[in-house]
Amino acid sequence: MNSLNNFFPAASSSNILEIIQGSADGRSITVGSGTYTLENVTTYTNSTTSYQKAPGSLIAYTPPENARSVLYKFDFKWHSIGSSGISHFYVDVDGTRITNSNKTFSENYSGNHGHTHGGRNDSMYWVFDLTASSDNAANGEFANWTSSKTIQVKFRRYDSSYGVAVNYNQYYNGGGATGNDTYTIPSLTIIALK
Amino acid sequence: MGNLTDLFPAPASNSILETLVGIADGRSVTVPSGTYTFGNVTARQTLSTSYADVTGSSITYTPPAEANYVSYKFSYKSDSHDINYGSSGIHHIALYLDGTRVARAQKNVSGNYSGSHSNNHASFTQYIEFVFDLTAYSDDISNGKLAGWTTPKEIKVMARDYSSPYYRATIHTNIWRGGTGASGEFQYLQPMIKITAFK
Repeated sequence: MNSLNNFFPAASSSNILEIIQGSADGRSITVGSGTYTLENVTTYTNSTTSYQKAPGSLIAYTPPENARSVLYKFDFKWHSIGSSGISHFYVDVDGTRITNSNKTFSENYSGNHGHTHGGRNDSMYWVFDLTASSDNAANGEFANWTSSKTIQVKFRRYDSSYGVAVNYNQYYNGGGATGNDTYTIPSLTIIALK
Repeated sequence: MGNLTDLFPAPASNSILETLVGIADGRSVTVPSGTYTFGNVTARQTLSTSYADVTGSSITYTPPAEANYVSYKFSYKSDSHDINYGSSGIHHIALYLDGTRVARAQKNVSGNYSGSHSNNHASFTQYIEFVFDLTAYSDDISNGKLAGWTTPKEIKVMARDYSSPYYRATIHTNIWRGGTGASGEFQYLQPMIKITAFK
């Protein structure tokens, strides 16, 4: 027998369809649209002058069918490994850079490239618009997102003098960080909204 | 007469069971799992080279029975200490659940070093965050994994300076305001806790 609430559904109290939120330690999270396994971050990652994935940022996601927008947010720690740590980040969906997600992070320059104390949390995010009339991945707009799309953050250093490592603690417990203290795991959040 | 939906509620449409959020000003907030009272921060906090509780970060929480994940986020203001040698304000923050450090959440935070330990302008909002996984087969709190969470547990943040007298930090602090040094109530600001329980 069907439930009465199938015939008389309650008024929607929220426009949130589902939320995936987790620390990137390899865990699997089951929500309405499926089961998603987060990456397992077990070290920090240095930047180079070529773009690479920020570990912990990758997820292959298919939103619920009635989703109208999808928030993707990657919260992570970075620390300078060169001078003021100028570095560039963007959100990538299925191999396409979302143009307006570009961000540059840096600290103040001291006048000495050897001063690399800058280290803090930052976020990369994008809100995908699923109400578009046609797909435009570079703008983060989709008309028909019904199969898995891979979302990730990519980053690079400015040049050989300025750069960062992601998920990195340079110092801990009053000295240079060693062993497992050299990394901290990031968080990934997906919110599907109708 | 009540609504039919009161008697036959629709299935939950999302995975959030409850969100508990508040500023550490002594307020009490009631959510489905109970009433929680936040700390009351009324002054800035200077750190030392020993770990100490970060004011306003402690809360004793019991998630709803069907929770599979609990997210804790503590947002605070970080500044280089406004004393000689404050420098880049290097400090370390660590998350604790019922007295056990959650190792993978720990971070060091600092501004860049200017070349002079007397230059201490680094000032920004920071946070420490972790999503506890309650679906584990056994408790492994240092990795943030628990086999359920049915009794009250204290979540808190501890912090310390990198060293002394150089590279010291102060938190919950505004050093400047309105073109000069902050004074009175503007010298501190209260941090925020946000807890979200997911099924």
